[in-house]
Amino acid sequence: MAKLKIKSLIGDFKPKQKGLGKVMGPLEAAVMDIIWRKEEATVRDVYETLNGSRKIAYTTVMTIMTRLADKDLLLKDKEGIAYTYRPAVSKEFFTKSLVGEVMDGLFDDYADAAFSHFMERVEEDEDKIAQLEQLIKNRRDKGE
Amino acid sequence: MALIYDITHTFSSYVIFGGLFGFIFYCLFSKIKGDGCPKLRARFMWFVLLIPLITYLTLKVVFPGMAFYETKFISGTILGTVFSLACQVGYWSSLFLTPILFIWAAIIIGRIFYVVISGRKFRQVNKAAAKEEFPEVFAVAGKFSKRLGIKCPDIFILSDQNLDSFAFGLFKPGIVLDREVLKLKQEDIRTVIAHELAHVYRKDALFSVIAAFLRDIMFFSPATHWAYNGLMQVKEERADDIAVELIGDRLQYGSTLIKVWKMGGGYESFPKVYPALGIAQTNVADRVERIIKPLPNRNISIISTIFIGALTINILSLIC
Repeated sequence: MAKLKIKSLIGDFKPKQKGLGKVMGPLEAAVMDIIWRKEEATVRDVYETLNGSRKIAYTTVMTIMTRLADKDLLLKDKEGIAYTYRPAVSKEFFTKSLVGEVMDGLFDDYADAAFSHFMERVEEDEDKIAQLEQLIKNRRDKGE
Repeated sequence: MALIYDITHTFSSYVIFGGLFGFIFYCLFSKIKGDGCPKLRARFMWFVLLIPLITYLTLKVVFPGMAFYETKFISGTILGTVFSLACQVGYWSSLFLTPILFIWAAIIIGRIFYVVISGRKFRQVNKAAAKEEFPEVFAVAGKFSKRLGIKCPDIFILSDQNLDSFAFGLFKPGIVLDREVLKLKQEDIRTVIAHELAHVYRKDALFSVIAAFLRDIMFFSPATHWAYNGLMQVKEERADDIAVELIGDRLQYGSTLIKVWKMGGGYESFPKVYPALGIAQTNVADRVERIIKPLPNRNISIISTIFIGALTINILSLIC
């Protein structure tokens, strides 16, 4: 279930943004971060935490958390008259799945280009060293 | 306690802004003179590490009140406001630094003891190689030491060092060669020995500890970390230059550097605390490139350095 929803998040993938901002709005990312840290929280808990660093309405926090629950990123349990929210997946699992989905998507359609770029990133220094080695050999052959 | 707050306040202002000025001067001079010259870089890295201490000693200990300018000349101006803010930054830093002063000092002293004791322990645990056992190694080391004008250091030939040859010893230097290095060709062995002797000649082990000490007493300034890391890179490059002069063959030197790097498993077999030929915390590709495509060796004169230092001291005197 969670993996399916992560796939749907990829539709909004913004590579230039930082961290969770790549797949969520900044408020959604902030809420997810708080809930991952607290492990369990009510809308009021999150509102009070967020309110310390930015001006925000209680109802906005509630809307964001409902939306995150609709995306299956949060699970909600009713306690009395309030809902308690907890993360559906751990942060590590989420980021790992996210990276997996993005990489798989690229490899499915652009296998050669993606692989070649990946190897370039890994082997940058090895390539440069191989070139220098060749340069030394050529200069030696010229009698330097 | 008020005195300690006062000292940390002034000193931290000099550290933060002295480091900043040093960094700005470095950027300026490297634009004029051209980047990539280790001598120029080394001079500015030391400048960043030393200027706060020199400023403090000059203005507060040796010649209190000697500063050319007095704060009253700029009070009430925009410049005066800027310097007041800089002083305030020093004050805020002192609020953070003073309570941890004793822990901070204990860590620094502990680190120095660790270096001294680990060097002694190394000598107790390992036995220096005998000349009779490795005559060729001693012949090369003796010849190069003579050319450098240094006493041939103790040589330790050890197994399982992961190709990590290094120089060590603050006052009694020694070099360590991995036994695997001795399986290389004669030219490669000469190169490795030349590089490690260059570190001994430059007293890199001692100066690294001094640089680390200065970095540690000014740990809260990003500029000091930049300068320390830069010095660690420069010391490898300077050792490369000296070793190239010893062996007289740039291409051979580059070739050995690559060979040792490859044998050490490339970047996977990363770093030890000592300077090493091929697997130190430096970029091997950049070092090889610098060796086989040398740049003009530019530097900044002593007079210019003193002028910049005096200028910086005077600017810093306006802060606190």
